[in-house]
Amino acid sequence: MTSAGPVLLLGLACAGAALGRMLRLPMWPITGAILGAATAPLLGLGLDGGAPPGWWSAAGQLLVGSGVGSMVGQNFFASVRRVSVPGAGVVLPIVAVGGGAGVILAVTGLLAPTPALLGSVPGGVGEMVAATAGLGGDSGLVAGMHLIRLVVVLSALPWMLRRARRLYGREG
Amino acid sequence: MSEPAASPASPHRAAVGLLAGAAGGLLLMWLRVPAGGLVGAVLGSAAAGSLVKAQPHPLQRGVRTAGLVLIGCVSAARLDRESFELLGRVALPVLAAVVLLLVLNGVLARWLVKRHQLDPATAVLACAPGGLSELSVLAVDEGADVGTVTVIHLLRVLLVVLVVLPGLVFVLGRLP
Repeated sequence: MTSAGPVLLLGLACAGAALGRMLRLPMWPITGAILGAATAPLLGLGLDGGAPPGWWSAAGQLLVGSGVGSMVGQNFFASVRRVSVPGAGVVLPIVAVGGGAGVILAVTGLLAPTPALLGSVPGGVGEMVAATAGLGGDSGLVAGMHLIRLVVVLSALPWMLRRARRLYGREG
Repeated sequence: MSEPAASPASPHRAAVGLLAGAAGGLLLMWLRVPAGGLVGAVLGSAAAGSLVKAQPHPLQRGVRTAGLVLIGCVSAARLDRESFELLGRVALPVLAAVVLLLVLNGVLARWLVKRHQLDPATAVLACAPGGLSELSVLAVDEGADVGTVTVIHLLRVLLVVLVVLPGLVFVLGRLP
């Protein structure tokens, strides 16, 4: 792929996001962009020498963080004080179950230990993929495992939200 | 938008929050804090938005959307044909693990609603095993308590990045 590779990839991501919006895909900006850009290899657009520059990931994190943080205001700092303890009670089982699934994938021989564990623990995708690359593992596979998790979870959440509101009422 | 410049929903106030977010993110990236870009941007824009009393504005939604498309693009670029083939072979076990996490999501959300009196949308989103950025955005769209959802996911990402990941790298780096 030429130096136009990243631009083509971004074009496919934007097209995927636009299509996702039309189809009312859950979280269409990211799920649509992933599905759109993921068609690049299928269309024969290899990324050798044309992968997105590293600053795209940093820019994406800055844009998302700024956009979200600017809408939370004082509520955010009150929440830090209020939910740290119950938050720990939520986070530990989630990480333990994700890690346990990774151990099973590795022990049964379905995957090598590195992609099995780093692809299964539900943490920051960028960090897990970067760590996999640092260990010489298949970072594309780990990215794919996290993408499956993201797409399935984001697709299931609208249904789970409706069900939770029916069960507990809107205010709990 | 026809609001006067001084109104809380003015683009100027929204821009102050966004710029402070970028500054906070760049600072934590420079300090090499794990996931510093995202964490610093959330903290910086939340602090500045609180100071200038910024209200939701279309500019913030546009910035978020652009960021999500960029992250989606970068994530997809890490996939190649060989990864797709291997992924196809492990798709079912991976899906089973995600379903297990979603069941746990439901159980933990119930605990948060009953024990800690969170509203259902906030509880479900706080326990979801998704990405910090995506779930924070979804919390805004669903009218959930964005602060609570963001804090719990920040805890998860920080636990994984600061504790679990170094441990795994240490162990995996010593395997034959």
